[in-house]
Parts: sequence; structure tokens; C-alpha cells
Amino acid sequence: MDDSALIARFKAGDSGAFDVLVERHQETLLRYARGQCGGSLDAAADAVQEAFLAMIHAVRNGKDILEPIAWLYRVVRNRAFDARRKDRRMIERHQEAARQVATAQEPPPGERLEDEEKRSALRLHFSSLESEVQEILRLKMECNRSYREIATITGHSLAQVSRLIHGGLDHLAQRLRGAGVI
Amino acid sequence: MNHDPNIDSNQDEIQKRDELLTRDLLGELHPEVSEEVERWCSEDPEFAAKREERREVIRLLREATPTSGGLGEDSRARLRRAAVRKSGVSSWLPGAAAAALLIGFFVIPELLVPNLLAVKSSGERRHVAANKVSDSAETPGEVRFNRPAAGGKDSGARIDTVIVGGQVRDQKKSPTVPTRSSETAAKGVEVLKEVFGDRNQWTTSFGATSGAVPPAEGEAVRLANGVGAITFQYTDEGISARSRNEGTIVDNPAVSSTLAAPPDLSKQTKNPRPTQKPESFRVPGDELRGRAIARGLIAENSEAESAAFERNAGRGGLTLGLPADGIEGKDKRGDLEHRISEAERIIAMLHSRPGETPDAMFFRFWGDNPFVAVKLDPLSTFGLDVDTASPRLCGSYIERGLLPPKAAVRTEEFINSNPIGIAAPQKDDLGMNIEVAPSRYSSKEGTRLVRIGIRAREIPDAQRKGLALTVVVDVSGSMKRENRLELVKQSLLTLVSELDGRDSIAIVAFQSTARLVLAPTSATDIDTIVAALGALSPGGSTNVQQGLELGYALALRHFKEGGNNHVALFSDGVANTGITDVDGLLGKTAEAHSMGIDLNSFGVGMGNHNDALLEQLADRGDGQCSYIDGVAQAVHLFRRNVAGLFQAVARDAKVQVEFDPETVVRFRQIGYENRAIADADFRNDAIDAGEIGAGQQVIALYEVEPRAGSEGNLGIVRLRWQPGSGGEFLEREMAIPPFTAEKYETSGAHFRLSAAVAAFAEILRGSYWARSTTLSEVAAEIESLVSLDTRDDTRVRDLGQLVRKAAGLFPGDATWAPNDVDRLVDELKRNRWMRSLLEDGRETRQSAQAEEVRKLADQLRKQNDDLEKRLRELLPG
Repeated sequence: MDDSALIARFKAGDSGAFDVLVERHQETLLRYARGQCGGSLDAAADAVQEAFLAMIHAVRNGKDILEPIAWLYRVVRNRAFDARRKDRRMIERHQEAARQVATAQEPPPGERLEDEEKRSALRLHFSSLESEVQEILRLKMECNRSYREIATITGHSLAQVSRLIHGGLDHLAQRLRGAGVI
Repeated sequence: MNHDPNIDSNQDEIQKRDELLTRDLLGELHPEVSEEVERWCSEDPEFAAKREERREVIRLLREATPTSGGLGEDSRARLRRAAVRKSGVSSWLPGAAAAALLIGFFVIPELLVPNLLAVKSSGERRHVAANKVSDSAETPGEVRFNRPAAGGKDSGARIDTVIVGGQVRDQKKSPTVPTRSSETAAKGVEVLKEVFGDRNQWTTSFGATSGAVPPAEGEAVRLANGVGAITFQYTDEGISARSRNEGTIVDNPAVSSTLAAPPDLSKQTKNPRPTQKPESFRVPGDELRGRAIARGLIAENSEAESAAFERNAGRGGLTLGLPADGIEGKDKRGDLEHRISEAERIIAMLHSRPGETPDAMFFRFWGDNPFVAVKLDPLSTFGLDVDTASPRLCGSYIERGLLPPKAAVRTEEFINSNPIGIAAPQKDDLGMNIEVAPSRYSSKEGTRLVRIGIRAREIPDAQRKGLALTVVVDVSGSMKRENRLELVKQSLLTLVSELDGRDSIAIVAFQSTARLVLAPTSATDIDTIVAALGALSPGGSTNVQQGLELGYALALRHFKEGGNNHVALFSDGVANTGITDVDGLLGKTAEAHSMGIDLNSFGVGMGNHNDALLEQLADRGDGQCSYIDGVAQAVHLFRRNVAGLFQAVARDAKVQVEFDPETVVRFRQIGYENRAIADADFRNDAIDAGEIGAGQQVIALYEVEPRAGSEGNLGIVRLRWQPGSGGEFLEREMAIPPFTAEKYETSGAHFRLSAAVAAFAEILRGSYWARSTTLSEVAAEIESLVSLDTRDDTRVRDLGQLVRKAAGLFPGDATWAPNDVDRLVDELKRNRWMRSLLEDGRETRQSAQAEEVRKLADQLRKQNDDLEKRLRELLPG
């Protein structure tokens, strides 16, 4: 049963349908929320819970939610935005540190790396991407959202999404090649 | 050679293709476009390789996905309750959370997501349409065109043409290399007109950026930048053309099947017909091609055009060039605008900047040191440096069949890394040697080459100070590769075998954390050292910060008064992830230096890679940065070189050359582009300059234009440094004689080698001054000097081979092969530079009559206008 059908069932009074929806999406939503909340699991869980609650409420109030999943992400995004605004300083420091490390070193020579180094290189170069690119890549890679959903969630146009994803991957490929990861 | 102006647009096309590749891997392409990508991959191994790489990045990213676990049971239960509850929020919420949730309930959906609906509705209208006729149109000899039907106010997409050329005469399969540009578009229009008669819609629908239908906001603008396309294909049977509209966004999924044929655009915008049927044109390929050739649009078997295509697309093929008279006319207005704006951009760039001297302008234009008029500025000041990383780096480019980028070629390092044959001074820390002979590789007649050699005193091993060495070794996982760690052990063993009872060595190893491997131990205790080295094994990540911190702590605790206290960092520079504070690390290095501990860094097995961090550290630590790629190199570096590496005989060494205006008209320094010091700072001892280790040698080359008939010395060289042991700065000077050899051929062998090496580097740099020299000449000269090699040192022979190899990388041995635009821009630069010289006025004030100067200025202005005009005409859109 697809998501819209689940929503319809829930609207018709089947509360179990909503639980299926939660079960289906909570993990990827949480992943996304975590990225958006600067890694804080608590803040992420709050955001996701609130998104689901907001959806329950919206459906009850007779709202038509045409792309329910994108809608959920969008709410999570806004919640995370608010949460982040509160401790922006911490986040900025974090990002600045990551960027410094990433720019302080030239890409090392091209050969395959040890697993541990591979992972740290990936994390390092990923964290040096622009935050909007990080977000979009997460939505694609970690949350399996389509370009169209990503466009709806982030408010970018489809072409921008395509360009940002491509650009981000291209940048990563270059860095990882330089670092000998690929 | 025909310049093909499509290169930039071709870049766009390549990028677009890459983007489609990414979308394909992510399952975001329509199956038919996906097939197209598949086809590209099968035809282009490079593209296929790119796909594999991209796939790998995606896999890695997906793998790196953190497990989030999901919401906690509490949350789930709460959500279940909320879903069951018919109404009433507050009944199950604690007060504070209720407030937060009220925001969640009411504010978020109402205020923060309202545009969701708007996006939503247009989202539904979005449809990525693939060209439905592409398959049939691929049949050779058939031409079809189509464009997305207009529908709704957002439509009005313009079709860009992409002409795919491919000569199939001797190939079964036609390579299809898309080239996108307005010229090719215009040319496509010419072909179409020729075939179908002159209908207005051709120029409008396939014209240029202006298009007949102004792109609507949002989608349509992006559309216009990109995706619709017509492709022409050259096959055995003739020309086929087809359109690709992948990524075209139309208003309705149904429209994708109604991609219309060449439409009357004006009609369509007035009266959208979204259900228009595709219309196709069939034209026999022979006829199409024949007419195109007859009209001179495509030259049959034209080598020039294939060459242009090769430049353009990197492969054999036939390209459609620009008609000789350019594109004019209102239909291609946008094209013209773009072309003009590009020309204006270049012309504006060539304006002199406020306060810019002619010399600074020269450097900005060509990236080389200019000839400087001695009357205006007789001084040349620079810091000495013994780095030799650049030639090694460039060598590895050439070995791989590539020309190194200009910035990587540092001429002075090329010269210094080859035998320079100067005897070491006996008493002074630094000694000087000057040779002057006619210049062989100069682009100017009658110039002389001045070679100033500086050599540091050798310190006999018995006289050097004791060394307290703290070795900090990277033993992270990557050091396993190519036996890098073994290389470090080998290097250290070589070094230790050179040390004696005066010296001590301590070893710190770092991976994820740092640990002490060997407390300071006398260098004679070989067994202990070997055992400690033997116990090192690689694994884990790289925490260089901790390694150095421990190393410094150790070195400080065991500081040897009156000795050489050094920390030596060995690392491959891979993923220095532990560094959270680069500035702090550099600061610590500088601080340790001020306490008498210098830092040497050794890059291990890094191939063609320079590590910014290693170099910065060595710089701050007043030590050297060296690279070790193999055992032979390690032995060369460490054998009998303890003093050279660890005992500086001169610090902050600076050279100032003062030319005599009576004997020299102009001079230029070869290399040292980035090492210039303000003349006034020569005696400013706070200015940091190069450190010179025992026995090391440095060359500076000048090309000078002597004053006709003059016979006296050309000038004076001053050398200033602080002795390695500290104390007062010392200064020495020496006159530059008019000649040490009257003919180039009779000059010293080492002099000729330096001259040839400099020419090699300047050619690699694409220097303004090396355009008249060919690499084969240089190679021949170097090969004639192999007698300078010894049994242990074959640098000259190796260099000769390298130059030969590099010569093969320049087509036809021409080192300066400009296209029409390059040449024009170059002329324009020269004109602007000369005008700037005239306006500066200092050089001409006394020498020439005012009348003549004015005449010259007039001439230059006229020439400038003419050049600008030609540039505007020539530049592609």
C-alpha cells in the first residue's frame, strides 16, 4: 500500500495505517533530521515526532496532503531549522573546524586507503561541502528521496537539485580520488 | 590551424552529459535517456570510467549512512495514542510540550509550508520528457526535428542544437561527440535552410539565446540554458539529425508523446496546442550533405576542420565551422550580444589598473618577470631557497604524457636541482661565483646570460655539532602501501649509519594516537635503534597533531645545549584527520623554533603530490621539506648529508643585484617569480628568507641587454645572511664582469647546463620569453653535457631523456601554438603594455623627442582600436 493510500485509510479512521507510515519512514526521517540538527539525536527525534504529530493533526483537519512524505520532511526541516538557530554558534564552530581541516591539506596521492582512513576521508570531505549540498545529498543517499521530493522538501527547483547533487558528487569524487579512496 | 571557438560550449555540453550520468546512476532518468547514457558509455571508455567512479562514490556514501535506529518506544507509543485519539491535544501533553506542539500543529502547516501547495501543483505538471522519435531518427540518412509543444504560460522552450559529428569513413561505428555552441546552432540553421528552404522558423526556433519565444520565468529559463537539442550525425550514408529533449519540462505528461516538429513558434505562443502531433521531415542524407558541402558549409575531407574538431572534442571527426564572414543579422542577435560581451570582458581585463606599473602589468598579463629598464630600477632582490620539489613534480607529469600546469613549474628549482659545479667556500659560510656569456635561448638579439652561483660552506663531518634528533614517524595504515614505512626505516638506517657518539635519536610513532617508541638513545646504540624501528608496523588513521606534540615535548625535555636540535617528521600526508587546529600546530612549530628546535619534514612515497602542511611546517620550523620516493633517493638524501640537512650555515639569505645603467639597458630575472623581496627589504633582517644547509648551492640567472659599445662591469651582486650559529648579519659583494666567455660555446659546461635547464623550464611554463626556443634544441644541448654525470649521479642523462619526452608532447615541436584569438589577445596585451610604458613616460622622457613619442602613442592607439575591433569580430558566442 502506498503512502497516499495509507493516509486515506488513516483519514477513514484506521489508526493502524498511520503506524505503518511511521514504521516505514521514521528511520530515514530521523537520519535526515539528525543531519539537519547538527548530529544531535535528541533534537532529531523531537523534530520527527513533531512532524508525525503535525501530520495527524493536519489530516484530522481535513487537509489534503498530496505528497505526504515530502510534507513530513519539510516539517522536519523547519523544526530542525528552528532548533539549529538556537545553538547556531556550536554548529558554526563545528563546520568551521571541519572546513579548516579539509582545506588545510592537499589531496594526498591516488591509491586505495585502509578502511579506517577511507571512512575518515569520506566524512572529512563530506563535511567540507556546503551545508545545502550536504542536505540534498543526504536526502538522496541516506533517505532515498527522489529529485522531485527533494525539490519539494528544500524549495529548490528540480534543475537546481540535479545540479547540486551532481556538483556535490563531482566534488566528492575529486577529493576522494585525490585522497586515494577511489 | 583553424581555431574552433566551441571549446567553452563544449565544456557545457560535457557538464550536461555528466549531470545526466549522475541522474542515471541515481535512477532519475527516463529510460530512453538512460539508454542514451548507456550508449555514450559504450562509445567512450573515459565516460564509462567516470561512471564507475561516480558509482563508487555513491556506494560509499550509501554505505556510510549512519544507523539511526528509529524513534524510541516512548515516541512511538505517543504517536499511536495521537493517531487513535479523535480530538483533544492537551489532554495527553504536558504543558510545555503542548506549547511546542501547538507550533507544530498550527504554525508549521499553516505558515511554514504554505508554498508546499504551490510547489506541489507545479510539481505535478513537471514531467521529464524523453524524445519519442529518437530511435527512428537515428537511422542514417534521415532527419527529424521536434521540439516540445508549447502549452500553458510556462512553456516556450527553445531548442538548442547540438551537432554531433563523426567521420565514419574508416570507422564502423560513428563516435558521437556532442558540441554545443551557437555557431554550430547557426550552422545547423544554415543546413536546414538549405534543405528545407528559407523558412523563418528555422532561425527563430534553432537560432540563438534570444529565441523567438522569451523564456518564461523559472523552468523555462533553465530550459533555455540547457536541455533540448538537435543532433546531427555523420554516417556512411550521410547526415542524420535528431533532437533530444531529455530533461525538457513540459506541462503535462501527455505532452511528452506530442513532441512537435519544427513549429511556427509565433503561432504556438499565441495559441498553445499541447496536443500537436509530431511532424517529421525526411531528407535523404546524401542530398543534405551534398548541399551543405556545395554551399561550403562543410568542407569535405578538410583536414583543418577535422583538426579543429579534434581540438574541440578531443577526437577525430568532422566539425561544422563558422562561416568565414561570421554570423550577423537580427535573428542571431543574442549570439552577437554574447560574443560582444565576451570580447568586452577580455578588453576590460587588459585595461591598466589604478597605480599599476608597466612591469606589474607585464607580470599580470604573462606571469613572467619582464625586462626591467635599469635606468628605472637597477635593483633585483630575492631570497634564496633550496627547494627542489617542482622538477620532480613536473617530471612525473611528463612521464605520464602530460604537460604540467604553469604554476607547478618553478624555474629556479629546475636550475638548482641539477649539477651547478661551484666550489664550496673555505672560510665564509657562503661563497659566490659569477659567469657571463652570450645568451643562447634568448628571444632578443645580443643579450647576455649572467649566472650567479652561491654555495654554502661544507662542514666536515668531524666539525659539525652534535645532533639531537627526534623522529616522528607516521605509522598509519596508508604507510603500508608501496612499503612506505620500509622506506622510512631504510632512510633512518642510512641516516643513523652516518651519525656517531655525538648524536642521539628518539622515535615517536603516531597513528590514531601517538606513542614513544624510543627514548633518546645514543646513535651508536645501533642494536636498540634497529630493534625499535623493526617494531614499527602500520595501521589505523593519521593523527599528526598528537605525533608532533609528543615529539616536541620530548625534544624540549632532552634539549642538547650547543647542538643541532631537530624534529624530523616522516609522513605520506594521507588524511591528516587528527588536525583540528592547523594554526595551533604551526604556531607550536614556530614556538619550538624560537626555543632552538627546528623541524624537517620528509614526504614519503607521495609521487607527484606536494603536501601543503609538510611544507608549511618545515617553513615555520626553519628546516627543509624533502620528498622521498625510493630507496635510491633516500640514500642520496641522507648519505654524507647530515650537516646539509640538520645544520644551517646561513639563515635568511638574501641576494641583491644592482645593475649599472651605464653598461646595461635592461635585465630580467629568470625564475624566482614568487621569491622577490622588496629592494628596500634587503637589509631588513626581520624579513624571513631562505635557509641554506651545509654544502648546498643556489643559482640565480639573469638575462641582460647590454648597452651597445659599453665595456665595463655589468653591476654588483650583494649577498647577505645570518650565520647558522646566529650573531650579526654578514654581507659580501662581487662585481659582474662584462664576460667570462665571449662565446656561448666556450662558456663552462655547468653554465650551459643551467642555461638549457632554464630554457626547458621556461618552455614548460609557456613563458613569454621562451617562444622562439624548441625543446629538441634544448634536449640536444643537455645530451651534449652528459659528461657532467658521474657513476653515482646520472641527473644530466635523466634530464635529457625527460626533455625528449616533453618535446614529444608539443605538437610539431612548436612551443607556442596560439589560435587566432590567443594571438589577437596577445597582440592586444603587447599593445596595452607598450602604451602603459609610454604613459608611464619614465623610460622615454629623456631619450626620445616628444614628437616621436606622440606619434608612437597615436600609432598604438590606432592599432589598439583595430585589434579590439578584430577581437570583437573573431570571438565566438
